[in-house]
Formats: sequence, structure tokens, C-alpha cells
Amino acid sequence: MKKGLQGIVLAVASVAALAACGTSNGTSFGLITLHDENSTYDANFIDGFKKACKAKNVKAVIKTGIDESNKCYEAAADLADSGCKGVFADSFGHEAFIKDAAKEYKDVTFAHATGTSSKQANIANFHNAFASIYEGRYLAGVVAGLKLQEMIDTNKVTAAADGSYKLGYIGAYTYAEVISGYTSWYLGVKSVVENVTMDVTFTGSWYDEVAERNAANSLIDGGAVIVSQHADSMGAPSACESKGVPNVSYNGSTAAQCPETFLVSSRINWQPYFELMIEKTLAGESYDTDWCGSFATDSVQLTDLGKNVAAGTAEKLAAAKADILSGKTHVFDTSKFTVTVTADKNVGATVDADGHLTAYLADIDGDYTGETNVVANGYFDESNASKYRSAPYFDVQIDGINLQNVKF
Amino acid sequence: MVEFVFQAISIAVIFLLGCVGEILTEKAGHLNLGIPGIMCVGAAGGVLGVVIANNVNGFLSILLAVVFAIIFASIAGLIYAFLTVSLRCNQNVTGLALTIFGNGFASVFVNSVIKIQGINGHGAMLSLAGNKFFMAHLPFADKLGDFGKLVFGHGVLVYVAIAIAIAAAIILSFTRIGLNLRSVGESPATADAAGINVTKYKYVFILLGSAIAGLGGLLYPMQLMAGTVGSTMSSTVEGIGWLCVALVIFTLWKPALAVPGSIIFGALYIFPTFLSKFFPDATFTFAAKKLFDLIPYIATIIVLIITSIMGKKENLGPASLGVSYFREDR
Amino acid sequence: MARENHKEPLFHIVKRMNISEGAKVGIRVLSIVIGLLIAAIFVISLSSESHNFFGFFGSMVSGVFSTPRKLWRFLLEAALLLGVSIALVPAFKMRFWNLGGNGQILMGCLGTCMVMFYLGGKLPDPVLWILMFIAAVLFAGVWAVIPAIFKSFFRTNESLFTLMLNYIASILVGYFIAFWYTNGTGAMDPLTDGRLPTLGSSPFGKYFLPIVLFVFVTVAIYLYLRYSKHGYELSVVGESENTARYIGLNVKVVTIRTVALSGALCGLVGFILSGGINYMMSTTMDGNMGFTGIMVAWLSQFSPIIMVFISLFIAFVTNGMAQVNEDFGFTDENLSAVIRGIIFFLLIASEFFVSYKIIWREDAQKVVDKIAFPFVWIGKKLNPVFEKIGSFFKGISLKARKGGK
Repeated sequence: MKKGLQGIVLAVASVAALAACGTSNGTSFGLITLHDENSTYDANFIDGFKKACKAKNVKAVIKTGIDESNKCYEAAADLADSGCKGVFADSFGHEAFIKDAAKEYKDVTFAHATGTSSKQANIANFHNAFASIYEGRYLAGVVAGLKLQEMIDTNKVTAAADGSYKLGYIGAYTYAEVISGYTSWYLGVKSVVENVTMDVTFTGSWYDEVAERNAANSLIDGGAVIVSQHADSMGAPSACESKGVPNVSYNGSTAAQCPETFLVSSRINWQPYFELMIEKTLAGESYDTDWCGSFATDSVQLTDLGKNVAAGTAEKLAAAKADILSGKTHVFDTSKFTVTVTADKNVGATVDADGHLTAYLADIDGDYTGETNVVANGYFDESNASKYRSAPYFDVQIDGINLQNVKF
Repeated sequence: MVEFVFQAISIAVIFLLGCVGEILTEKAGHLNLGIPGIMCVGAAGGVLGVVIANNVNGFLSILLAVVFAIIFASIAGLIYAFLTVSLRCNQNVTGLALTIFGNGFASVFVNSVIKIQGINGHGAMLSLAGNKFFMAHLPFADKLGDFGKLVFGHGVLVYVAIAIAIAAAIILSFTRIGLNLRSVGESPATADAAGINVTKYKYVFILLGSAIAGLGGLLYPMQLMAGTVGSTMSSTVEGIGWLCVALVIFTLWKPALAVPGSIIFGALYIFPTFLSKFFPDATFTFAAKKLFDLIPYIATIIVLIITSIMGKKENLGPASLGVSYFREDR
Repeated sequence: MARENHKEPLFHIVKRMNISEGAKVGIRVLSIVIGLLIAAIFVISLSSESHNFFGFFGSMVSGVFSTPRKLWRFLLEAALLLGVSIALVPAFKMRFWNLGGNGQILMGCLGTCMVMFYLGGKLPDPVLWILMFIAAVLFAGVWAVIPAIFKSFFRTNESLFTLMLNYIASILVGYFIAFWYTNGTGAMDPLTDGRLPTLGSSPFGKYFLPIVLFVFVTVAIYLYLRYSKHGYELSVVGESENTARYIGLNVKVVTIRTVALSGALCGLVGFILSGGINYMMSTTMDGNMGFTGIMVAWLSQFSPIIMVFISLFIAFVTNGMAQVNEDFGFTDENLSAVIRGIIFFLLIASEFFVSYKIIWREDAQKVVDKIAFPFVWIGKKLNPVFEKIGSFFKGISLKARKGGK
């Protein structure tokens, strides 16, 4: 009986060993995601990662459902143990744990999206990455602005008492990435229709269908005529479709689901970064500790336009994009918006007599207080990875945007 | 304000059906903690039905969605019934296992469906034709202004749900079947001695309760979320399901009370999102705003405490609730 | 009996008079085997690439045993689950349905993190550890005692009360994270002060102490329940409140004391999670162990050794399935919940077969015998092993106290 038992255990163990290493005939790279591909945010990364690995002929190993806790460290260490040459994690809260893994496995490249500490951390194999999505959102705002202009011209909407038109935006949390996102969208609309205001409501979660849907309903009820969001569910776009209010979505086109109201969407394409990471790691070369993709690297993309965009949008959009690429237009051009400074609002800002920003102390080092002036040459220099960092740091509260019911 | 009440009613019907389903099950003497899982499974069935109807025609979409939701939910209910009625297994544990399973199963199932449909991560919009049918409301509703919108402006299944609740109330209180059911729940031994087929009543009403709850689950993606299915559908429906189980106590096991009760719960549930309508000036910090999410749960606890303090016998639920019936012990 | 008019039923159910210990074990083992087979079939049919049974089981085993890190991680998760399960046992033995394990764990995490956050760096670490422990156990204990008080005095339904407190705990954790990090993203960075001591930075070093702790707690609670006066009292209250009153026990005191212990032990799990492993908290730190723990406690019929095995088994399935996901190219995290649910059902159903026997009608009996023959044959062969295992469990069972079987 004992011998039999031993035999079984041996057999099982050898099968296990075979099964485990059977498929790694080559190098592998690992991806750690917060949820799984059913969440748009993670789907973006998974998609880009799979494509990049295929293009570079390496094996893709993906661990999903890794929440922002020690589990992330374990997942990263596991991937490193099993021979991955590089590991990437996609969620903000993964950063500390990836850093710990990077300190331990010095021969493996570790990279992290939306993170803020790679430069200070000064760990050779630890990188941050993001993209200048604010430019994508600005252009999406231009598309929305053109639609708004059309709605004004055809009398589909009427102005408020002070002549302004209202926009709506649904955000998750109150930090720079979200603020940068909605401000750039707002400024895009404003570049077409000057007299606009925007109500922003926060749900407190990246993915909460019911809350997002009702947030949209509430905004629309409050007079918003175009709505956008920085949230991952279909709650807001579907509410807009139900009410016939145009919607600009994020991280993927909702044209199939909301054909009548979808305008455009901006998204980050992670494939270029992954390919860079794989290439440099395999060649044993170092690369940017903090990397920010842009239109130039095809990291920022706009989806196809919805069917109900205003006439002539495609051409005007192309022109606006060209201006951004050439540097003629800056999204956060300080002459295009005003800022009010009070004792507890915009404390790091210095404004001139007209309320335009002349200097702003942004929080680059992630300690929740601003210290670095990022305003120069008439604009706020966002997501400048080489000078500052790739993760957004625009948290100025500009005039014209009302934060619903949230005191900062 | 009108928008708030309208949305409260929209979500209330999910609570309503889940609650009525659980009331029927509990009246038969079984505490089914698997109702949250059954609602998830019902939603998954509904998704399947809409996908099969494949946009052919709105009416077909609704019909198949309802049929499959009922089938799926009934199968889940059958698992519970078999384990707790025939096999006399512990009701709480079986129910919890069913919720764990139902949540996971519905997630995997719905996500597979979305993948097969080839739609990207946002979530599928399952049937535009069906969606229009679901959301279609009586034509004159718009013309009657706010009142019209609130009373007449809802999708067809909302009215069906209210009709089901009223029907359940009538059956329980005024029919012989209802009387028999109530005696089964109060004292199965006595009912058995009086010639009532206890096993049959338990099975029928557990299944019926499950089917109704499953219909409630269906209303989540199809009516509340206007036909879109996202990756957190199951966990949201499960959360609503637990509140439904609590709502049963709130309504003192009376389906008629479930109608206003569910509207109150629905309102409390969505209240945090409409905060700005009630407090126009920015008065709360982001963190403090989170505390408003506590409201439905605290309200439930208060109701639990009050009903138990009042201690009236009829408000404490069927006497044999949670106890398996052993005929041989009689 | 008024059945003469009807055809004789296909089968009827009869309570077993006795059942060998070996058969008890055999039935459980059979349900687990069936469960795994169903899981294998389910997963393989869902997979787009081609795999086979060996691939499935190979993945599962390698996901748990192939590296030291995976092994220690597996043991840690089993130990945490065991900790929660053993925490729930005293309450369940008293028929107090503590569904609030998740919330009590979270309150333990909250208490721990509050001390780490507010007093970190201001007091020496060993002092912090003591305060963290007290805070965790206190918060969680209170969280459980509130429903206990209402049940004792007003008969308030404790299942729903504890359930609602789960959600409230989760929201409170989210509130504090938002309150502490006002412009944060809802996630908390690990705290640096007050980290519990470890034996080094290897997986063994990090997880060995918590594992030993929960084994120790399991033994301690077992001894408490079996040999102490409190243990006796709470089992009497669980059997019959009237009996308890007749022998002079204060039911309210026993109830509240026991439930406080139950909550406090869940708080201990939270203390380890926040203070020893993650050094932070999140709204999902409980990992649904409060519910899974109920399954473990009940399925093991409160026997601590069986609880150890079932916790190990569940951790095995969870981690194994994660590896299956990775190897088979799935990216759906819910798959393992489905598999666990199926196995739970089978184990629950198997309870029935332990207590009852199905007697088939004569003609049906022959068919059943033919189908069951191979299983019966295997069962007979394995019976000596099962008998040994079964007798061992019986010897240390907590039921022994009542003098029953």
C-alpha cells in the first residue's frame, strides 16, 4: 500500500512538472491586471500586451484578478520565479508592491502604469509609464464642441440665463489623473464653444454601473447637454443613449451599444510601450525610467467618430490634431482659462490680474503637497516625463467647472 | 426631484420581485439565503434569452429573456429545494453555497456570452430592438408631464412586477392555496396531519419564489441598465439580493407592503448619487460623501431592531422558518 | 397507511441506524472526487485551446506545489481560512448564525491600520503591535457583539444583522482610506511603521509565523470548546436554551461572551492581514473568507482536524484554479468560485447520504446495484484506510462530549 501511494505521488508530481514547464519554449513576459478582460481598463492592457508579445515573439503570461495588496507582490514574484524577463502591472495601487518585487529580483524588468515614484525610487529595473491622454481628451472635447455648436445652430438646445451651455462629467476619484482628464475635455469643448460650464460628479469607484448611470441621469436632469466620463462601465453611456444626450466615452468605442449618441472616444494604446519594454529588456539595454507615450508613438488614439457627429467634424478634428502635434496649440494654454485662488483652493497657483495662471506648484513627488512649478511659456506642461513625470499632475480647479457636492 | 423618484421606482422593482420571491419561499418555512445567487442566475438567463432572440424583434427579445430567466432561476431554486426539502440539509449553509455558486456562475456565463458576441470589454448592449421594447412606455405618458412620467412612464416589466406583487398578496391572504401555504410554514406537522402535501407545497413555492426573484434579477441588466451587461453585474445583483432578504422583514412578510417598501429601499439605495439635488452647495468632502452609502444598511438594521422589539407574533415570520421538516419525527 | 391504492414508490428514504466511520469518510472523498471531475470537464470544455485531464490536474497541482513561494502562499491562505472557520465555530455551536465574518475581519483590519496610521513612528514598534492587536480584537469583537446583544434581548434575527454589518464595515474601511488620503485613488500604500516581525524576507520567513499562529489558535479553541466550562456551557445553550436555563446558566451572558470571542478571532485574522502581510487595508481584504469559512466550519461538522483538511483543500482549489486560468489562457477570475460552489453542493448533498439510506423498489434496486458495483468495489478496497481515518476523527470529535455517536 505504501509503495503504491509513493508511486502515485511521484506520478502526480512528474505530471505537474511536465505540465508546468511544457509550454515555456522561449522567453516570457508577465502582465498583472486588477480585474480581468471584462473590465475595459484591463482589457486595454491585456489586448496590447498580447499583441506586443506576439509581435516580439515572446510568451505572454497574464495573471488577472490581482488586487492592490500583497497579492500583487506575490504575483510579480511568481512571474519572476517562473522565468519572466519582464513584469508589468496596470493599476495605481500596485506600485508599492511592484517596487518591492523589483528590489528583490534585480535581473527582471518591472514596469507600472500610472505610477509616480520611479524617478525618486531610483531602482534601476523599476519603470513607470503613461501616455499624454489629456491630448486625446482635448481632441475628443473638440468633437463634442463641434456637436454642441451644431445643436446650438439647429436650436436643439437653449442657453442658460447667462448665455452658457452646460456639460456633464462623471469622475471616479478626486485626484490629478481625473482632474487632468475632465479639464482637458472641457477645454477642448471650450475651444469651439466659448461659453460653456461643466458640472462634475464623483462616484467614488472606477466601476459602479448603477451609480454612474444615475450620475448621468442626475447631470442631464440638471441641464447638461453633452456628457463624458472617466469610469469603466456602460452606466453613463447607456443613460445618455436612453435620454438622447450625446456622449463621449473613454477607453473604447461605445458605438455598437449607443449608436445614436456616441460621438468619439479616446484611449491609450499600450502596445508601443510593451514592445519597447520587451525589446530593451531582451537586448539588455536600459530605457526611460518614466515613459510617456503620445500621438507620435501611437500611444494615444481616437476611435472612429460616431454616426451623429456634426458635419465637417473629421476635417476640423484633423486640423486640431495637427495643431497639437506641431505644438501650435497647447491643451493647457494658460490664456484659455482662468483660475480663482482662495485660502483652500488652488493654493499652489499664482495668477495675474486677469486670473490667468502664471505659475503653479504641482505635486510631482507624490507627497500630496505641490512643490514644482510646471507653468512656462504660457502653458501648463502636463505629463512631461523627461522633466517631471508621466502620470498627470494637473489638479488645478479652473473656473467654469463646478464640482458637485464635493469640497476639496 | 422627479428624476430621483423615477429612478427610485426603476430600481425598486428589482427589490420588489426579489422580496416577493423570498416572501413566498419563507412562507413555506424555508429561509433561502440563496436568493441573491438566484437573482444573478436569473439575470444570466435573461441575457441568454436576449442573445438568442438576436435582435429579430422587440417582443421576442422580452419573451425569451423572461422565459430563460425563469428557467435558469427555477433550476437554481430546484437545487435549493432538493437539498433542503428532500435531503433535509441545513438551509442557511445550502443557501450560502447557492449564492457563492450563483454569483460565480452568472459572471462566467455572462462574460462568455459577451465574448462570443465579440463585443469589447465595456459590456454588451444585447439587443437594441429588445431594449427599445423594454424601455417603451405608454405614449401619452410624456404628455402628462411629471405625474405622467412617474406613473405611466415606466417599461412594461415594471408594471408586470407590481402586478405579480399584488397577485401574491391576494393569493396569500384570500385563497385556499395561500391558507395552506401559510399553515405549512407555521407548522408543517399540523398541515401534514390535515392532509396537505407539505413536500409539494414547499417545492412549488420555493420554485415559484425563485422564478419571481430570477425575474427581478433579469430586470437589472434589461431594464435598469437599459440592456447593457457589465462585468460587475453579479456582484451588484448579489448586493441588491441581500437587501431583498432584509426587505422581507421590513415588509412583515406581506407582499402588498413590499410595493411601498421596495420604493423606499430603492430611494435609499440611489440617494447618494442624487446628493447634489438635495444639498446643492458643495458641503461634503469626498470622504464624507461615502458615508451616505451606509443609509440602506443602517435603515435595514433599524427596521430589524424595531420589528423585533415590538415582538408581535405575526411580525416574526412563519414559526417553522429555517427548520427542516421530518415527517418521520411526527 | 393510506398507500395501498398507489403503486409502490420508486424509492423511499430511511434514516440510517448506524454507519461505519469508514463509510462516512468514503462518502466525503467520493463527493470531492466527483466535484473535481466535474470541474475538469467544465473547464476543459470552456477552453479554446486543446487540453486534457492531465493538463488540468497538472496545472492545479503545479499552481500549489511547484515552487516554495507557491507552497507557502498556499499554506498561508489555508491557515487564514482555518482561522476564520475556527472563529465561527463557537457561535455556530450555539446556533448563532454569524454571517458577519467578512465585516469582522475588516473591522480587525481597520483597527490595526488605525493604530499603524495614527501612532506609527510615534511609539516603538513592539508597543504598536500590542495596541494593534488590542484594536483589531476590540473593533471586531464589538462588531459581533452588537447583533448578539440584540438577539439576546429582543430575538432580533442575527443572520441579517451581521450581514448588514458586513456592508457597513466595508464602507467604513473605504471612508477611512478616503479620509486619510484625501486626493487619493481609493487605494492605500503599505504603511511602514508597526509591521509585525517576520523570520526573514523569504516566503517561509514571512508566512511561517502566521501559519503557526492559526494552528495554535485552532488547537486552543478546540481545547476550549471540549474541556472548558465555557465550552460546555455554550454547547448546552446550543442544544436547548430551556435546558440551559434549568441548570442555571445565564443564556444572555453565554451568548454575548461566545459571540464576542467569535468576532475577536475574526479580528485576529484582520490583525494578521493588515499588520503582518499587507501592511494596509482595502475594502476587499476579507476575500469573502467570512462566507467560505461558514462552509468550512459546517462541512467539517465542527471537527478541527477536518477543518484543517477542508481549508487546505479549498486553498488548493483556489490557487490551483488560478494556475489553470493562467495556463489555459482564461482571464476570468470567477471561474474558481463556480468550481468551489459545485464542490460545496456535492459535499452538502453528501451529508444526506451519511444520515439516510435510500431503499429502492425491488426492480429498481437491481439496476442501481449494477451501476453502483464499481464504486462499491473500490469502496470496499479502500475501506480499511477510511476506517482508520474515520476512527481517528471520531476520537477527537467535539461531539464526543455529548456521549452520542
